[in-house]
Amino acid sequence: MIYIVFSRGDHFSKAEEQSDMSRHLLRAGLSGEHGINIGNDDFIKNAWGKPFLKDHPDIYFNVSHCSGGVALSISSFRTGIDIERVRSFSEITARKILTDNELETIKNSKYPELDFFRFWTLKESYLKALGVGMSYPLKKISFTIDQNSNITTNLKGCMFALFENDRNFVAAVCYLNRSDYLKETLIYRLLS
Amino acid sequence: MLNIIVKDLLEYVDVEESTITEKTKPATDLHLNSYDYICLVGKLEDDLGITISESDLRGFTTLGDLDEYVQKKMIQ
Repeated sequence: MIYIVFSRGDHFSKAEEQSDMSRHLLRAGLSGEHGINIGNDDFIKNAWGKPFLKDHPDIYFNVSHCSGGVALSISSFRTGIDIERVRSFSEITARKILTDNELETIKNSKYPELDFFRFWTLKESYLKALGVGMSYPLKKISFTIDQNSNITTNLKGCMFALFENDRNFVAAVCYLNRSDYLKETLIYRLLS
Repeated sequence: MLNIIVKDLLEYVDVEESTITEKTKPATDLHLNSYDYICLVGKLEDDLGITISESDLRGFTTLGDLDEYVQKKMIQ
């Protein structure tokens, strides 16, 4: 299941507030979906710091937060999720992480900031699903997004989905080793 | 070199410059997220004329680690 909370106001603009909301969402999600009540000692981390449930190796989760947004994915598949507030972006960064085709898409876009963060969150969700931090060359991952929001990629056996809110926030979720149609339930809450 | 890294870093975090040292961990101490981190790396590359590969990023825990790496890159 995917849980996303967006804020139109100044809710969780601070990192500590975002972390608190992330923990709250994770506790509620794991309790509601699997009846698991987690404590601070119930996690183990891999070499890159990605947390897993110590006693439930078949349940995967991933959390992301930004100023005003928190997202959580819980799945039986290895999963990664990323959420970003849409804002101006650095052209230096764009050239560092995007393929030539993706740069061309942004150049010709009516909403370049939105398209940039679509690509960024998709790539970041894949890295987070792998659990390898920033050590993967982002330019080797390529995406195209058509006018119907269909996502195609050069990555094999992965599934991706994008969630957007009034062009203010973008969230992307990735599942590894999954190719069926996305049937995840989306829990969506907008704080005014 | 640390002063250049700190100057660039302050574009992405809202903390007092005097609190940042070579022992500061950007992710845990400053809550620098992945996007801001990659922006910082891109800015350093542009400012210093070096290339920092993604595979090298896993070795940086503190700003001191990044500083040491950048200094080596500048000599090469």
